[in-house]
Amino acid sequence: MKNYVSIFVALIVLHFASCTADSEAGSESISNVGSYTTMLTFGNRLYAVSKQALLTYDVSNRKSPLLLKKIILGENIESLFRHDSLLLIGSARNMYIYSLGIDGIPAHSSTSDYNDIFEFSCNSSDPIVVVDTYAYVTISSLELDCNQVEINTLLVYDISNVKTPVFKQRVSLSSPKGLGYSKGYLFVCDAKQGVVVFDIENRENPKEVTKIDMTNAFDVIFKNNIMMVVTDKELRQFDITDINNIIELGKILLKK
Amino acid sequence: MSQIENFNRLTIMKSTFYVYLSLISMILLFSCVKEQPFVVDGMSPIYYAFDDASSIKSLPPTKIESAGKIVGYKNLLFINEKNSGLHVINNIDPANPVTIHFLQIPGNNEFVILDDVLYADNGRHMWVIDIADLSTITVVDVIKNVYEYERKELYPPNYKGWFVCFDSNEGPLLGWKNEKITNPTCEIK
Repeated sequence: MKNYVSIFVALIVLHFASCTADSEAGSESISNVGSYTTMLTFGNRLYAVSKQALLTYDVSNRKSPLLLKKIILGENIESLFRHDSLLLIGSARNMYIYSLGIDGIPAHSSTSDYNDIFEFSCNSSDPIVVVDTYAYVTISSLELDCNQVEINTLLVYDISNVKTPVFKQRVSLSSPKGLGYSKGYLFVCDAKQGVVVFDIENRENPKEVTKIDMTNAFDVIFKNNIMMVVTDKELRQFDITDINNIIELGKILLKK
Repeated sequence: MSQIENFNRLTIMKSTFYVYLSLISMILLFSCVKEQPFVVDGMSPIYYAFDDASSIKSLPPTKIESAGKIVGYKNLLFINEKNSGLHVINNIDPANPVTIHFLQIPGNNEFVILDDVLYADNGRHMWVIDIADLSTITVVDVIKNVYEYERKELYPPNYKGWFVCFDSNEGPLLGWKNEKITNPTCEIK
């Protein structure tokens, strides 16, 4: 029931977003953003997170954004992700869930504290991806100089009730960074291991199926059957049509 | 008894005199050394102005030094060059991607694109930039003070040696340049 309600709200939001635009629905050109993004657009709304706040702009007039709402969240906000009518925001310590009203303005649903799992207070960048009613978050502590236990892991939350997310699973990794979802598989960049591919047919229990070797993989985006991975040195592209036979298409050496 | 006291007083006076003498000569000595300026190969900060839109422009492609976030848009890929702008890559053939432009935006790390309009930060403000023509981009609006500018100690990354200390009163940091510097006070050992 909850699902239907959120789909309904999403449809209304989308409708509202598209019909107030002077451009025709479906003709707009939108960005395909990675999991580390702090800005995204949805219909006639532009969402941005700063280190402390979530900002909502009306971009009905693309060239002249108007601030609709500024919500102060907390400290060290790092990432922004949208799924249907939900916004998920990652900070060093928390996962915030906001629900979009029909005017596209976010309202707070819940805040999950990673310290409830770790007793640990200095994690870094935690990008989030949502598949159906599950949120996947990577936590990486490797770069931090904080005399604490290193925590490098993928967390799975059941968010079917957005007001009370339930922690379900953690999967150990070496130094996880950005992540993305495509056609049944979760692709997690790991600075040490490469791109680790998980089968998430069972949403609560990611199963590693393969790994693409590379160093310092940072973030990933998809277009059709092509996966684009940025590392500190390279842009690499792969055809992922067959998960058992991932084919590298080409790469650019970014750094000399 | 009083003779001893007198003697003591004399020695104290004498030794005080010697202390003064040596202090004065040390000061003289150091001031002589200081007259020679200390010039060394080092690094100094490059500053920019948050409100200056004139440096936002499309340039020929350049090498990527420090890759940041990635965004796909139409058949293009935009890759952030940390703190300085966006590399534009024509990805119509993923087997053969070609870097076609560098959009120079000092201080930029965050961005998104909608209908040929680029929204991009510069550390404090958000620029609204028309990119319909990628070879001549135009700033059409600015939303001020979106981002909290952190005034913190900054120093050249992956570097050992002398450098001119970063001073946040001079403006936000764009990057570092190598040059001969005089009497630097900051050093990474």
